[in-house]
Amino acid sequence: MSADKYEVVIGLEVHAQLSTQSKIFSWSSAAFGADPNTHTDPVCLGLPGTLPVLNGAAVESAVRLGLAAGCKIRQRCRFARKHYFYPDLPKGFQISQFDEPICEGGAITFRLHGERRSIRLVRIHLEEDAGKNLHAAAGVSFVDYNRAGVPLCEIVSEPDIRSAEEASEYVRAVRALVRYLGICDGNMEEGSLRCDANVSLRLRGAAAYGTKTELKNMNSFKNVRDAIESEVKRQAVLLDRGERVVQETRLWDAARGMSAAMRSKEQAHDYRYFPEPDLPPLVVSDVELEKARASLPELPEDRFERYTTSSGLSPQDAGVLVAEKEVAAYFDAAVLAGAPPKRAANWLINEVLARVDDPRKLGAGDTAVPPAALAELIGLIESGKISGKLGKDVFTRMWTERRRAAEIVAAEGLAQVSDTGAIEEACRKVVAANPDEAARFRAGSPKLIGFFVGAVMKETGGKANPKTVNEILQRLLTS
Amino acid sequence: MTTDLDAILGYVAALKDLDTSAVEPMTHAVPFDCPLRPDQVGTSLPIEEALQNAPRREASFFQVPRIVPVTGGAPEDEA
Amino acid sequence: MSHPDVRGLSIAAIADGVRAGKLRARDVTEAYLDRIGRLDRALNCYVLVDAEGARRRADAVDAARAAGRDPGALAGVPIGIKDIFVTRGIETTCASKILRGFIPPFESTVTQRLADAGAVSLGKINMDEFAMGSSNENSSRGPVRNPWSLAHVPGGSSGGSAAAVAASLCAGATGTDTGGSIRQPASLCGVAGMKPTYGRVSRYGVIAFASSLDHPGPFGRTIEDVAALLEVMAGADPLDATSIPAPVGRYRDACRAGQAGKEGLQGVRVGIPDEYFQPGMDAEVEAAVRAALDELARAGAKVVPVSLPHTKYAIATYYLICTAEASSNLARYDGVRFGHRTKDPRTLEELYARTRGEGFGLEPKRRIMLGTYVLRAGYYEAYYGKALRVRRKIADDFTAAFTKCDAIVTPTSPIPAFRFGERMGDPLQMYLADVMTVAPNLAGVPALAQGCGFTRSGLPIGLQIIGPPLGEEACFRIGAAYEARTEWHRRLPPDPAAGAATEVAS
Repeated sequence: MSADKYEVVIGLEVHAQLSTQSKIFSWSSAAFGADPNTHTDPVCLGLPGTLPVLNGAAVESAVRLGLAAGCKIRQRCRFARKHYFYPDLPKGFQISQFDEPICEGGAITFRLHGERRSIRLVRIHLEEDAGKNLHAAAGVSFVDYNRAGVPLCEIVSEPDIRSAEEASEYVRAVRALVRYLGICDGNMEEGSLRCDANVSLRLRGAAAYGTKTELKNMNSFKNVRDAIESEVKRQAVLLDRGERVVQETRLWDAARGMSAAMRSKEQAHDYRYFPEPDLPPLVVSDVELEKARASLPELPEDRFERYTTSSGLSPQDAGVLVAEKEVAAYFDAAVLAGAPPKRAANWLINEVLARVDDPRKLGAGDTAVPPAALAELIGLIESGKISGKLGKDVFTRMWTERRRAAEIVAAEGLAQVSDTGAIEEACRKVVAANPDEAARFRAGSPKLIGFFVGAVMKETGGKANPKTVNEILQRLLTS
Repeated sequence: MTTDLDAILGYVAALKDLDTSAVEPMTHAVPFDCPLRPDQVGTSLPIEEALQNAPRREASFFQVPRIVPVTGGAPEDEA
Repeated sequence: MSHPDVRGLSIAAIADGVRAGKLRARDVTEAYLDRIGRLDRALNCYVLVDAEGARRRADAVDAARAAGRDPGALAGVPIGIKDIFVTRGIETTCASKILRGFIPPFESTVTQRLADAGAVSLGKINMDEFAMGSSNENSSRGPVRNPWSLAHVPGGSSGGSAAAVAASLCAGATGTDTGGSIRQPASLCGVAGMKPTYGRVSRYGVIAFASSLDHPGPFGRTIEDVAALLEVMAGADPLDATSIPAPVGRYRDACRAGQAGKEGLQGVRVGIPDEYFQPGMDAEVEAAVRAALDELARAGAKVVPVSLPHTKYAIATYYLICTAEASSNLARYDGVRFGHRTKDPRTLEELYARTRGEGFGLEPKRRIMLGTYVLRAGYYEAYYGKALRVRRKIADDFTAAFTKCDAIVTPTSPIPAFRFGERMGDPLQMYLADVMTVAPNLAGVPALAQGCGFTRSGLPIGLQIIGPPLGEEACFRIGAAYEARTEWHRRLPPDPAAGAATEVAS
């Protein structure tokens, strides 16, 4: 396919809406979903005479994010005004950061097809969000300023990404990181995590970059991947035909599966940046830096390492556990309560996660089967008190009835019969009742053992320890 | 207008020859750093007050002429 | 009418009188309202007189006093508020068409503090549109006239505030000073006014012209009145990230220190910068200021020469910075959330272009265009960036000078009030006019303006006293000492003739 002769060069800008209580420069609530224009104040409406005052929690979030991504934190940074006219931008400028952002460098690491990838960052900076424009029919649009002034961290990557799939995994990794830090809920559908991509192609081996286009409006991991794939194809076709790629901004239309160029008028914009005169330089002290560093949780990549090395989990399983911090926390708690890691992982992935529509709900504290309960169940199976098969049934009952395993097993008398005497008696009974099959077994049909095991299990109401049954039958039938 | 723009160029020329390599730009006339405020939600404007000066409004929104972000039938809202 | 005669009445006299129960706030307010009703037609100081609100506020002060509660440091003092201060529920326009009808849902910190101290706001005062101008000819509500001569300008941009105090249409007023807009009109109208240290007075609720240069401040008839107002207006504000946390000084005490005894300025060094006494200054102005310096020496001050070598770069620096910041601050006037909006715009472009074209006067339009030009991409370091560095050098000049003196005294304006339309006359004088006032804005240092004489034709002449950062006390001490030894502040302009009317544009 013609696209193979080109190297795909992708840089991503991800905006993470910080989950602070109040806005970045004013006191209105930053919460999502309120009735229109009910979370406004004179400052975020840009009324004449108003001034910004910086929210300390937003700074803290940005510092923690920068540290988690291995950035250099600028301990003295500035805000700047970025000017353009648009109805959702009340002041006619956005307060952002230009040449002195709060974080520089750093990287986002993740796994792609089992291989560790590290995408370098250019910078992370703080800025305020704009309001929302809603389009109605008949020549008018409506503006809601609830979102105006919500704090954003803009994460800018170097153009190190080499495929649409990698881009999607990068965004997933960023999402995991901000959720682990508790600074953003990473909800692409609601817009608390947004992604723009810069995409260009160049002949493999070429040193210079090709012309890039900017892709916007990709509001899910799938859209990120689809949109970039589509753009790569589009550019490849142009280049193959000897045409040039036009530098432009394109909006992805998921319904149509294609992107369309924005009017070129919006393109070349002189933002007339200059330092924000209403905010003196921001200083992050050594003490604050250390406090932020000390507050960092175990990050996804480190957790992944731990799971695959000391816990011995497969990369695939580790990946599933690490993807959401609530799942990893559940796992850690189950292991702490005594469950062997591999077993805990299996049960969590195959049984627990299968029963929740949103894995994040595991963090709510009201899971039907909490980690300690799962660990207890696993313990009963491991110690042979009940069979593995029975264990699954018990789990189902634990989930629907919100009861502990030990209680269910005791109440139902489900304890696995390991008493060899009782089992031997059952085996003798079965063997005696089936002389023809016994003879055929002895004559050379070893597979018939299954018939006998099944019969013994039936005889014992499924409670016999299958291993013991097998051993005893083998002895009885071959003697 | 041309004389005004000439004035700007005149100002720039007036400053050009002054050696300022040894000084930092003075963006603020205050010697202190950016103060921080605690992350507390205060009282928002009641919606009627927020909209009271709107030259054009509709229900709970400010109204403007339609914003057209793209050529040829594209998605509504850019994120 | 049983109103007290308020012509020339000081803030101190009113506040003391009301607090002591000797004056009723309501009576005082009615007296001023009466004067406004009779005389403001000729002067056009007020764009909005809030008679009902003023009466309510005055009554509340009287009620508080009667109930034994503290009615406030400025109890019953009628104040005019420059229409650049946002006042809740009361139209605030910055004398611009683009803000006509804007009824703010919040209050500026300054006006809130004045009200909390018992002051009675009489209404909103005329100004140059968006504080851009030095003659109050740039208002969309018609010019303000100088009470000393109706054919002459009062100065600007706080021309209305200065004129109102001079004509006793209020006892004190608020103003803002970005390049001289308190000091110059104060001197042209023969009253006192102060541009405090940058950040000393909160800018929250002050409609922004040039954010790093805007200084809200007081006007009064006497130095002590200015001090009394500043004590209430000043102080840290959590709503303004550039407001200074340091405690407010005891400015009235500083005044009294200067008034004490024959030589109240013993030990004080007054600096005279060469660069401010250049050829081109009006001869009478120079003579008056030099005479004032002699008076200061007689009061015990030591007059020393100082140098502010980068003064000649101040204008260029000022205009590059203020136009850039103005173009940014005025970007929000777009007809979407408040103010003027063009009729039936079909597209966003029409909304913005027509709204702003119709709503802004010539001077704001000019400055927006210039400022946009200054900030354009690729030119930051050469234009705005360069100006910020030269600004540092200008500020350093003051720092160095203040190692040799406690305050610097200069004329405020090289010329007295000029006639309407005359501004474009002498380019050299235009240059000097700005140069004397802009440097303290760039450096952020405090500067107090007060009357120091009159021309033969009866127009006021003023000087300014510049202090180090947070050195308002030094300014007040010297200013009060000079005032105590002179009579300029007691001279009052004649009330405009009953029939005299000014053309008021609506």
